[in-house]
Amino acid sequence: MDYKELLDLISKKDKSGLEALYSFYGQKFYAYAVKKWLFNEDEAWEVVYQTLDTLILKLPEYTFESQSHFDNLIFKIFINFLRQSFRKKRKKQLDIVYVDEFERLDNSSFEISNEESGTSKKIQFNRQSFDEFYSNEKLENPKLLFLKDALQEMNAEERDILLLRAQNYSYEEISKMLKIENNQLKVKHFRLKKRLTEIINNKIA
Amino acid sequence: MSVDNKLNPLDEALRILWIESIPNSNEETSSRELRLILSDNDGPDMDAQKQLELINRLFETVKSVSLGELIDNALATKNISSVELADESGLDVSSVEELKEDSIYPNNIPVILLQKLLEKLNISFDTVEKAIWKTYEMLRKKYFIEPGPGYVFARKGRNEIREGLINKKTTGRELYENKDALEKYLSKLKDLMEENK
Repeated sequence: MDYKELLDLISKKDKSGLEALYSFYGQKFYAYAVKKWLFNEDEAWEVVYQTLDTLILKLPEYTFESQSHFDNLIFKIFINFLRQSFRKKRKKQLDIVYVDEFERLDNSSFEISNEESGTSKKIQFNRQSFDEFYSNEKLENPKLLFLKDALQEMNAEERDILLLRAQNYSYEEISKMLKIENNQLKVKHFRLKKRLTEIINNKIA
Repeated sequence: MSVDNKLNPLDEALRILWIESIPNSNEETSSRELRLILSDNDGPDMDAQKQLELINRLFETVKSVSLGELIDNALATKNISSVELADESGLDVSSVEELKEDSIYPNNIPVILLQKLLEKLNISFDTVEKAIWKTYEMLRKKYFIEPGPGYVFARKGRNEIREGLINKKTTGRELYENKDALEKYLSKLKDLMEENK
């Protein structure tokens, strides 16, 4: 079923249009929120409900030129609700422990005081860096802006590896998506993070 | 991020950066990211009962009519024009048009004039209350995202909505374009409609 048929059913107030909307988009959004953003079932349900409800309410405002325009709208609505919920969730999580693998290469549980670590490999991000994001609508923290600039110094594949892994995609999934060898991807990812950290620290220094 | 409260700070920063930047990305990037999400067939399924609840709640939204639709339908049924309705209810024509297009928060209209308009159209309070809430939700979500390229406003006048609705600067409208203010407005409307029965 393409978007035109789907919209036609919804405009006729046909419930099967909503079932199709859930099946094509809602179900996948739910799985993504749970698997990749570690939302609980209720949080993920709310994001999906808000996304689809908002889409339905906004439909009279738009005519769509293509499937991709329709997809673009629903994706952006979803991401906005995901972002709101993520921010809300993190704001409530006061017990977060930041674990930095560069301090212990075995990646074991280890709480660090990032600002005070004093090593050339130090990570500059901590709760304070993120609080502005958790509490506000804007991305104003200069460290996050340094990160944005630093990412631009890497190539597209390197950026993809970092951003996909941060979203909890497995190495296997990343290798399939980017059509690259899974072998050594974990090591490559580790080295990319190290390089990225060094770029940021050089920018900050 | 195997345990929910243990986070790698750089990964967290990258997540934040991704989720902040992706809404402003171009259509090609959005499409690619959406394809990634839609192509995953191994995700957990929503509980069947919760799925049913979701569909039913969405169906409620679909079935309900907005104030604009309600007025539009009533005008068609009674074969009255917007000009006639404006004349008889004491509103100006542009306000009636804005109500029909759901482009204005209903409590922008003086309650006494809206009551007259509803009286002319024989619309009950119970019916209009639901419709007003739908319009409120539509407007509240209207600027939830910025329309990207490729979208065309379906109705004329949609892109001519007053600055105040688009710009959330200090127009003062935020004082009454909110849930509490609308509840008070509806309470007043209900009293007026009961008095004039």
